[in-house]
Amino acid sequence: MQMTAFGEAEVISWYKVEKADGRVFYHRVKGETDTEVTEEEYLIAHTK
Amino acid sequence: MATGSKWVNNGQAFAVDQLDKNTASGTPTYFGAWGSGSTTPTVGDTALGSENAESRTSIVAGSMSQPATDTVQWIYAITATGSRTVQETGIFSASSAGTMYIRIVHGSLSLESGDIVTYTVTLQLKDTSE
Repeated sequence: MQMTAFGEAEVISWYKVEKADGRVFYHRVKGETDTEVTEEEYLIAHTK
Repeated sequence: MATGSKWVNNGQAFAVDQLDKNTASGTPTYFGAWGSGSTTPTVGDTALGSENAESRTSIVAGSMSQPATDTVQWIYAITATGSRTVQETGIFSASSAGTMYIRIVHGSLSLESGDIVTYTVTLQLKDTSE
């Protein structure tokens, strides 16, 4: 692989918040946008 | 809200090492941290804005993967040990200090002791010839 072939990169992150009281939230951060997503969307992204 | 993600200084060599182990020297180590800083990430960042007290999570081999030829992924979880505001996370080379490779600022979370955040961070390189 040529290191010089790559000039850009994209960071996409997901996070799951598990509250001690049992509530769970899912989010995706892409670019400058943090979006709450459904559990289904989160799971689909993690099975690709 | 100043959310965003940056692959910071040294990150390119870091990422390439993940995709082609022949370029890596030794066995790299990775640790996930979180903090309360909210400043927009920049390429020159060397640390989180304000790292929280919890120990960094060692990202073990099984929590790192390469789901595609040009993509690397890390998964790590951090548990709050007290009331915390969390708005950023980063991947570092060491359990303290070290080199920060990626910094992400997200929506502000108000956490209590025992709350857990599991992060999945994906870095996709883009071929400039595309």
